[in-house]
Amino acid sequence: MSFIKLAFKGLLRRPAGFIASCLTIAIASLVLILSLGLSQGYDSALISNIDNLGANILAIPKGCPYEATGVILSGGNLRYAVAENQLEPIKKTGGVKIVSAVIMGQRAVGPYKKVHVIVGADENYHLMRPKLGFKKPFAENEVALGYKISQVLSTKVGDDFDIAGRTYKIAAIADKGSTEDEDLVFMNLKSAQKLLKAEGMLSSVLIQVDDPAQSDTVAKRLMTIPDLQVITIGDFQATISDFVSGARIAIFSVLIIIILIASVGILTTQASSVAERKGEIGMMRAMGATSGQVLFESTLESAILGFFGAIVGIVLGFALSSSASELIKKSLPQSPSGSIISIGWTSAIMTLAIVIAISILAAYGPAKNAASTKPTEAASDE
Amino acid sequence: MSDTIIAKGISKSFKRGTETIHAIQDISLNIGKGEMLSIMGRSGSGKTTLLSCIGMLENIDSGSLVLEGRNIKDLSEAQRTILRRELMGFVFQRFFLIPTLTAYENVALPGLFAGKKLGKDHIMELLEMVGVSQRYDHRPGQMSGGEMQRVAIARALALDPPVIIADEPTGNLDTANAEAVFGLFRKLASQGKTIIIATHSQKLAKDCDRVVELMDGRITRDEKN
Ligand SMILES: Nc1ncnc2c1ncn2[C@@H]1O[C@H](COP(=O)(O)OP(=O)(O)OP(=O)(O)O)[C@@H](O)[C@H]1O
Ligand SMILES: [Mg+2]
Repeated sequence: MSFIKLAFKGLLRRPAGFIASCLTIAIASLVLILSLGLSQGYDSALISNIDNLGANILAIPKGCPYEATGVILSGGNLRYAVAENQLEPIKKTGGVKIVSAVIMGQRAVGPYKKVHVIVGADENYHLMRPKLGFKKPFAENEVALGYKISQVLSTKVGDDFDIAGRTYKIAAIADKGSTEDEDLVFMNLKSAQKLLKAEGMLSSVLIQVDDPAQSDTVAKRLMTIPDLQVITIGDFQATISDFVSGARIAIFSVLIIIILIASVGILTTQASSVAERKGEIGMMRAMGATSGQVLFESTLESAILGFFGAIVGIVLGFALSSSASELIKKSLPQSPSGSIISIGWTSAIMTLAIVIAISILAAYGPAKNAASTKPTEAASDE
Repeated sequence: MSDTIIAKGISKSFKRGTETIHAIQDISLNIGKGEMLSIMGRSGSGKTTLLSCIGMLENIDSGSLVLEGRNIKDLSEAQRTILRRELMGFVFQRFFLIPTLTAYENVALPGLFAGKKLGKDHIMELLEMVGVSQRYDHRPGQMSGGEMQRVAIARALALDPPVIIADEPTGNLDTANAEAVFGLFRKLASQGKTIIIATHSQKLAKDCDRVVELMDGRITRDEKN
């Protein structure tokens, strides 16, 4: 016999109430772990995307900046473009180190004609993005594949590769590691412009500055170039953060409401359970349980309730995190291409601790009430 | 050797609204080791209150109470609980077994609160003595009233207290079971336990060594059988 066993058996007095409480706690735990994972996942996805971009400043077409940033990060078809002749003034701007012009669009590729994002990149692209592992610029009839697409199509360097009826040679395969790039097809800027029927046009210009701390100053200089919109990585981050903080506030409100509902559930379950067991608790007091032991046992019950609910919620959280991520991304106008929810051990343990603490607090009143039960309750005849 | 229980002029009253109910008044009672005593009296005469005071379930308003040589006057609530654990085993009209625990586990329960692990042999021996050892693995819902009360008696004996206090232990039992329970108490008394039983049954009270009768919170009769 142990207090844990006694508490567990106490909960099993009312199996339906136990299961119902566990389920509401599980739902609260699920929302909690997803929102904990959201902040962490969102931040890490954004940081890795921006790191991978290698640029400090982006020059994008005039138009909707959100759409433009989306196209740059995850690909998509071009609605607005930067004209190629704007490249020279960018290069000549003081403080600019390397400039790489990029065009993006979507085409059906490979034997299965699946639509992928095509990135046409100039001779500086491999310098700007060393993590991709490309050693030299792409030649006219060459392509380079993202890691995942190369795996899916089981192609290797030297193979032929088909895009919209034209055949290219695979010159390189990107290193594994940057998820949002793994589905991309890279090629020479000129070839891509031809393929996408956008000669002389660019989706964006990636700009690396000599001193990252001076990004804002350099950006101000770049803004004097006509018909060009310039966004620093900092602004970019803030733009996306605005959307996600909106989502976070919404989720947080839902979380508070669900936690309140779960707490009220625990409170009523435990309050009626204590009321129902007054006589038994009095008997325990008569047989030598101190009021501290009764308080402990009752608290243990709430903790066990919280524990089981949290475990179910955490398991559901792991199972549903990617679908939840997709769902939230759908409701955002722009988001990073990786998962924006990442749950790991830290968020699981935090959820467990928070939920158990809330369960204990929610049922503290009934537990106090149980502890103050007089032993004479056992002597009362109904 | 001094008596197990020495009560001198103990009183206890309750407030109910503006009214004060003197549940027991100026009761003096000495109970010796191995004595089996029954407390009788009409409903409301103060039997339960007297047992509760003697058993330290309730604090006395005045008078003195010495249990196994210890004056309980200066003890804190927690110290009383611990002393109660050592000295007293309780049996009530309602059994208050934990319905989700087996007979065995119910008997083991006092050990949990006392921080003592009770041996399997000890618990089985107690169940054997009260005659329900074959039911050790059953839960209260699967047992008859008589069986449940026997388990409750085994539980009261778990920490081997010198005193057993039983408040209408046969109130929910039929005649045969009631007699069997009294038989058990008789056996315990012969082993040296002090047994105090509140009962409404004249017939069962006759089986006791001594009968104390209460009326309006005062002793009106105290006779040896
Ligand atoms: N906690 C309490 N609060 C108020 N009054 C109480 C309380 N306990 C007992 N009383 C009153 O004290 C008196 C004695 O009650 P007690 O329960 O001791 O009688 P009893 O002899 O055990 O009766 P019964 O045979 O019905 O069990 C009664 O008038 C009862 O109403
Ligand atoms: Mg009574």
